Amino acid sequence: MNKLVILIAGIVWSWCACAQQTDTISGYHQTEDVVIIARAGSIWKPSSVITPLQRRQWIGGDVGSFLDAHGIAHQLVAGAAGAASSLRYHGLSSDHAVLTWHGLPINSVTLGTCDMSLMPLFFFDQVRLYETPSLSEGMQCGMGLTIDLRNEALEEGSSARIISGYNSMRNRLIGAEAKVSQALRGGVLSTQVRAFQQEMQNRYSYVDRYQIDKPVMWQKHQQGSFAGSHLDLEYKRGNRLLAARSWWQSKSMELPTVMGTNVQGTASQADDNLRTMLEYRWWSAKLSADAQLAYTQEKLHYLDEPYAIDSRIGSQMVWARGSLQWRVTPSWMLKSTVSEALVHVANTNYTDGQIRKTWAQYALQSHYFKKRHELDVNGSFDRRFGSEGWSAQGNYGYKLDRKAWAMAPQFNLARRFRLPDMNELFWMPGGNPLLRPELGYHGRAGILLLLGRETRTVWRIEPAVYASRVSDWIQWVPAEGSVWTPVNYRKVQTQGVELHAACEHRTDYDRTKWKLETRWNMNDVFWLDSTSAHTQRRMIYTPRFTGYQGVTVEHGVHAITLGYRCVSERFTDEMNTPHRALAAYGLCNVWYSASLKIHGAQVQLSCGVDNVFDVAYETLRLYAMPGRVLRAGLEFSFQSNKKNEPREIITLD
Amino acid sequence: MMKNLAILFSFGSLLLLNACKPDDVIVDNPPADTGYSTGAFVVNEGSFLQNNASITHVAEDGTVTNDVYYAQNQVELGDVLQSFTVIGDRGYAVLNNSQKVEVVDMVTMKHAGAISGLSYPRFMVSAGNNKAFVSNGSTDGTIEVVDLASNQIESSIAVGKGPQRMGVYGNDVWVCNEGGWTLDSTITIVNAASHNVIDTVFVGHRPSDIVFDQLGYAWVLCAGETFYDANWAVVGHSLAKLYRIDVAAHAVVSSIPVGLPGDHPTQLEISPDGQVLYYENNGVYRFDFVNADFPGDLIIGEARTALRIQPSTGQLWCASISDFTNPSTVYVYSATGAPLKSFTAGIGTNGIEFQ
Repeated sequence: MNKLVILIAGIVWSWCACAQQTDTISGYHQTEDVVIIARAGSIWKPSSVITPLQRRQWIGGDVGSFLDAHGIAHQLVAGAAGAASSLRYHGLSSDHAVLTWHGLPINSVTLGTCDMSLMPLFFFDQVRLYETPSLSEGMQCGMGLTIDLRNEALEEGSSARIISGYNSMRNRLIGAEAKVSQALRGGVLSTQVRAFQQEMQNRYSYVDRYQIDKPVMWQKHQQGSFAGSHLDLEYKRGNRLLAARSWWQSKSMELPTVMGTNVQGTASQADDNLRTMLEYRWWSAKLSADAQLAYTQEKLHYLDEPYAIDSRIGSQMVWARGSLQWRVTPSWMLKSTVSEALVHVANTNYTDGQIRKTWAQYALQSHYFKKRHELDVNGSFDRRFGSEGWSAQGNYGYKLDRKAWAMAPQFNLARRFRLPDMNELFWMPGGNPLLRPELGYHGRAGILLLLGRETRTVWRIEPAVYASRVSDWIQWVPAEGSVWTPVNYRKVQTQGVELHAACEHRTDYDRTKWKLETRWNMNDVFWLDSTSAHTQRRMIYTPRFTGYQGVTVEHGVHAITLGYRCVSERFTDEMNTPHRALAAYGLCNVWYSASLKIHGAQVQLSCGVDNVFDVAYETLRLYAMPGRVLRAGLEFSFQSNKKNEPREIITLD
Repeated sequence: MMKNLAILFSFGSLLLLNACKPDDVIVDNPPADTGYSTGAFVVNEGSFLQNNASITHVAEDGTVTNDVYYAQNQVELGDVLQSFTVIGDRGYAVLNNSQKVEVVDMVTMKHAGAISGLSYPRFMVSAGNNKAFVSNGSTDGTIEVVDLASNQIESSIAVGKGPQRMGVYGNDVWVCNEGGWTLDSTITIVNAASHNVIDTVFVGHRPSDIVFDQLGYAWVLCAGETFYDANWAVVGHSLAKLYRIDVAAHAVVSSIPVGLPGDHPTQLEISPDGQVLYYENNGVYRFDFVNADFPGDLIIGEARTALRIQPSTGQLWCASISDFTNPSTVYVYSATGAPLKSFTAGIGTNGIEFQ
């Protein structure tokens, strides 16, 4: 009876759902700054940052908001939490991170229209972070962080899923997924399709502290809709795999209102993206090879009538990558990768209406591991848009494994050469074709400790220190009129210390599980004044301290998480004007989920309160953030040949 | 075990709570109420959409105080400060992108009201009888007549496209219709008492600034226009020109090209004795139109903005802007261009108002 009541309530709730509101920063500049806190076990291997429990608690949620709320990332947003186009890591700029889809870079070669807040969590099976990715992964051109989005095919059987999400800002999300895996001519053909549709209003009130009488305002011009789908086909036979993937999404929305002025939001933006990929993989005991061929297409229309801006931009890219991996000895692996891309951008504001550019990257990796030692050395040579340069990286790790504890110190040194991307060079208006490439030297030292193994209470503690020195750092700044443009900062330095710790305690028979998680990051980022080598100013929008503390209790089908997220003060201008700094803030969140089985279907119910104490804060100057937000989600899933969900444990890797 | 967990969580929470405690905003102590009724006011436009426009006050003893409005009111002035005008004991900050005029008390610089209902305000002049004219509009332009007692708009007067600076001569206000986002070549003359348009004078492309000399002439600097094709490639320019207009007859007496094709100067000033013109064209020129030939003498070799002549001293004030992110530098020169002093102001300095 209780289960039936919950089910009915969930259906009614979903029916009343409003779309999740997400906003992108206006087309003036495409980059959002995010600070990443997370670390992988081995820093050059990816780690999946979304656990099955967190997926259950965030039904209907988006990737951007999730990363922010769990202290993995700090984002700048122009409206509802989660709007971000790109990422910042260890104080590095927002352009320094790379977003990839099955290895295809999707923000650096294109127009930068990759808003993490518009990527529903359910749309991807894996969101993997590479802290110091190997340059042999191809087309990185990042300075440390890569986020790779992937979907997994079913090994056998079939599954289906329907989800619905809603929040108190009147945003609604509906999605569906189907996966089928069947034997075919000695192999296995896996098909998966996913689709979603969002309606957004983003309706919330805020106190406009930038006006003399501090009126209570309602957010306006947040209307919009968003839809997406993907189709993946994989055929695996023996030691070969052939896959065809496609990802389409379309968005149309009005952009947010700015506080402190009487001007209401006047701009709108419509995006259409299509990404398709063919992938072939072959492997043997000693050798493996893979090839990818992709075609992407983007269209963007930005309109701001009062300011007479009407930009239509389109891009197409053909991208190919091939890699060969050779296991020379059981302890030593070599890998080489070649990537080439041909990009065409059409823009109504260009002199001749279009630009064609090529991009090539050649990379080598050597990975050696023996007993407790692991050494990875990789390098790449990039040639793009008339500039070229090389990067190199070395990682060393040591593992000491004991029955009750384990320890793994890790070190990373890198020289990274980053070429300006399409967005920085050619975005109209404001793109700067005269930008110089960046050159950075980076170092990181950390240690991973596992304590209490094979007991009911396990600890995982990861402290680390890091530093970077970057020349000709690219930063978007306001230019004349309504335009932002990227410029080079002569010298930027960043250094910091971070701590990621987790503790898990299980009671008898795993009835109840407690988990405590902490993520702290202390970071200093300074740039040298262009007029004086002795003047240091703090990089804009970079908090000195970010922290997250969460407690999760799982008991039976129920799970509840109490999280506290805090961000310290941030300057918003190059002169570090004190009264224009954004105040520090702390947000308390509560998330709950229940997992039920009803007539063979798995039903997940989630609800949560973000910003429980209705704190007023800003992450981007002049843009109001919503206060307390209630959200809920419901998921029905069916699966044949269901396997038990893997047990979440804290491990060394 | 659970007790240990609880202790650890509490400790961690305490650390987090203290680390992220909002700090008090640090603000320089504002000056005592010595008043802002004397001195100079540097108009700093700020960065578009950043709501960081500001006013810098320069006292008579040379003391420079930046962000005086914020210091007195603890709230930002607004977005894109286009101009600042003092009428009586009130200061009027015309905020183009905030679509309003912020009114301040000239003794305390505290908020004293606001004039709203404007779409694209640019400049403001006194029209006598406790009224003021505000130029407004990026295409079809109007002059908004404001009652200064109530800070309400009483009426609108249709003028040319993109009205900008205005000059007052006797009972008439001469409006430069600069064109805004389109193009115009006219000066509209409005009677300040009746609010009627009494004449239109045709000049060159983009009349940007106007001054009146002691001989009964108005001088209008027309910036000239840049022409583009459908793909926004530059295909040509019209010449900038300086026009001399008989004020009584409302008739153009003469005109002369300024600079080279591609130059688009917009700033024109006149000495306190009304006999020497100053204009900016990739440098500042001094043109004694009574005794010398055009173009005059180049007295400052670098590009400048916010060109103004201090009425009491005849000194030349102007600014240098590197970009719309960093503060500007204001320079003060003698009447013949000898440098006297400089100081740092706000972002995007575009004007100076003298008390």
